Amino acid sequence: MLRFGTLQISVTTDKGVFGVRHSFQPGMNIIRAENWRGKSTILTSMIYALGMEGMLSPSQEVPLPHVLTRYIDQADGNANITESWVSLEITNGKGETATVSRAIVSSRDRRLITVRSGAALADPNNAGPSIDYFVRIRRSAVSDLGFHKFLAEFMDWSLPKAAQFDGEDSPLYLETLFPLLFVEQKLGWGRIPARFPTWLGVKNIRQRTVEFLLKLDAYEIAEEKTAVMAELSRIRSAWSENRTAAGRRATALGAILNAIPTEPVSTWPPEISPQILIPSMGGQWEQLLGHLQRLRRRFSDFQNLEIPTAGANDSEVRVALNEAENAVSGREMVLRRMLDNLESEISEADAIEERIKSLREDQRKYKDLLRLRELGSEGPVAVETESCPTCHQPVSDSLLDMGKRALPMSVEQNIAFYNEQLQLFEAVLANARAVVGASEAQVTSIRKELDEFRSRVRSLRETLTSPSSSPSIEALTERIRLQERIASLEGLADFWDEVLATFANLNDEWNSAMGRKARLPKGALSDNDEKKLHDLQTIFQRQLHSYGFGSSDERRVTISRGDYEPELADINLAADSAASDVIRLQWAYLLSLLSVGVLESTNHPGFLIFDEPQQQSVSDANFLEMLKFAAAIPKSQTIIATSHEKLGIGELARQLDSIHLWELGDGRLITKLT
Amino acid sequence: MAIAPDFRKDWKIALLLLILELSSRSGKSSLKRLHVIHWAVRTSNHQHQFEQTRNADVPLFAFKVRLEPAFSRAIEFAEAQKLAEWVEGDRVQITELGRSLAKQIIKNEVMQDEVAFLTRIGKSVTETEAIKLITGSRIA
Repeated sequence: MLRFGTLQISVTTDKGVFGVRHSFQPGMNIIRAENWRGKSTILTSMIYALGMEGMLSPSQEVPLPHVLTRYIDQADGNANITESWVSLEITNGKGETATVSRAIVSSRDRRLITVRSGAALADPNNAGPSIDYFVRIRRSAVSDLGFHKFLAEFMDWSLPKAAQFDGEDSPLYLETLFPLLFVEQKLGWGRIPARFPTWLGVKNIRQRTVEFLLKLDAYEIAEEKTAVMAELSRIRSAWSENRTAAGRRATALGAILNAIPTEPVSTWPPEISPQILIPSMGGQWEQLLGHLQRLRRRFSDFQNLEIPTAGANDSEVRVALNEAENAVSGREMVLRRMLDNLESEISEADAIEERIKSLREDQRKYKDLLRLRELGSEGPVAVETESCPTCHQPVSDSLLDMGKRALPMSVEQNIAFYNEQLQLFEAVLANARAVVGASEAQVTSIRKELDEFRSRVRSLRETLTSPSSSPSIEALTERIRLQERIASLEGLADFWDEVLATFANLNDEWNSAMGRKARLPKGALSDNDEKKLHDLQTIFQRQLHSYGFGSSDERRVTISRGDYEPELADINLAADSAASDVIRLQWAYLLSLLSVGVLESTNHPGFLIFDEPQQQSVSDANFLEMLKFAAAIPKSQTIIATSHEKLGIGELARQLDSIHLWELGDGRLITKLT
Repeated sequence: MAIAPDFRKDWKIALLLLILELSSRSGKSSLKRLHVIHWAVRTSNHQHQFEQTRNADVPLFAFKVRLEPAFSRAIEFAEAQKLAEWVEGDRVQITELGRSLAKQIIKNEVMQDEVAFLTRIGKSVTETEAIKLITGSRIA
């Protein structure tokens, strides 16, 4: 919450001290004066005192008129200003008061704001010490010495992060929130709901500000959504990394992975449990552990046998050599066939990839084509596609000579067609790649077998030529080969256990992330948000009715659940409304925000400042109706500057206790004090 | 029947306007030159081949220009819609209307690949080079 107390502007000139001082009250404060008497000066100086002029423009110039910056015209010539200051008391929800002072003209840096605790203007004796803060320079919203950080904390606001157009995150700057609390006279009227500073580069500024002011859960929901999505995609990529790593290790040993889901799944282990398969005789596959057991059995059989000597069974060795040589030539043939196969499989996969690439390019072109047509429908030039521009006969939307029969698809149909093709080809490609992977594993395994048989042939020959009493080389090498193979497959089996453990962990993480996703509300809004927006809409429509909104039935003007702005079913509200109705919309919208703001649990600071709200010749009756509505909002402070005729305002102020009238009449605002 | 996006009228017309706007001196070009550049910008493969040929990394005949009838038809449509016009007997020139459409396309970042390619080659393709590229395939 934020309340304004005493405002003091003091101007020192070469002809004495000038100034003005006024205490704002809770409830409605009306500043009435004729034109050119300085109403806007008062309100702008409050903005300036809070270092909030950045909401008006990125300029570092003082947004105040010459009576506060250069000279005050007097009957006896100009009084030149040597120093001027503005001070303002502010009170927060905890009842703490602080007084902020900022130099307008002074030798002191204008980017400093002095904060004294206590009401230093109304009760100077009890004011506390002062601290200087800075504004309007980098980091003044985040630094501990930044005034806007102080102000946010003073109002008990913790500003959310907002995405910037340049990709960085920044806090939601106070300057972006103030247009919903303060409507200045020159540019503030005429946009719904208000004019936001664009130079701060905050993305989705309209949604973010209303979300914050009404303390909607929508922002957190959106954040959580992004976080959950990021988590899911992290798990997905960790999953596929793990899968690829396991696959690479297996392929190197001539094995393949089977039944590992490509995407994380909700139940682990899956029904068909993941395995490593190794090609065995005759094109069959064998599981890693089974294969390993078989090798181990063979190895232990060997160990029980004595190593034969070279000369022990000459004829048997000859037979074995013959067999081994046959096996080598057989395997070589198989390998050649397999390599041929693999080559054609690879080229098939490449062709599919090529096809997908060109489909993607065409798809991109179609997306551009759609945008081209959008440009045509919005802009002044459109390319005619349905009829001949010369004779206006219908022609087909294609440059191909297709004869009369074949009707080209519409662009939308064509895009759908391409999407389907892409899906199909991507599925086919995945399949083709799997086939290539399996063939590669088989080739590796055949090559291994071939190597084994070749070295067997070699050792058998050596056995035949070595002295008959030495141990059989063939028998020795076979044992060594087997031992090596067992060791490397055992390594794979250990690695496989780790892989499975990682999958199990990823699966847990996946399920918890999916749980978070399921807990998110269906839409972007929580039930609480819906209630607040519903109340906002009800109050809004009721006001439109009493302000004489005429552009449409006010019940059709609703509050968008997307950007929280007023919307009229499928019509551009700003373009289709009478200028005076835009003003009514703006009153109703900002006052509804204030109403909901003070009645429900929100961040709304409970004040609203309108500078000259009676714009575009809105009728007096409507204007007074608005004042009555605003004056009746409890626990709020409104400050309204107007040049509405004196009697009407005076009468209203007499009727309603909550209105405090500050009548400037046709005198000057800044008057001589000493 | 599905149609490749290349053969949609407005795609080809937009492409023609971009070639005239970005890659032709005073928005004007001969028909032969238009066909060469059109063939070059058509797909990313063509773009690559074209640039390789111009850099003399590959022989001249590697870039085989095809005079596409659909593009000729697109020129006729563009002329009928006053987006381009015939001048000096054998040259096509972009009109103010055509230019405003081309600018809109560029400003709205539509057809970014094509715009990037055409901006890259700029107005550097001369008539002589165009003829060389067309006949290059015959030299082989």
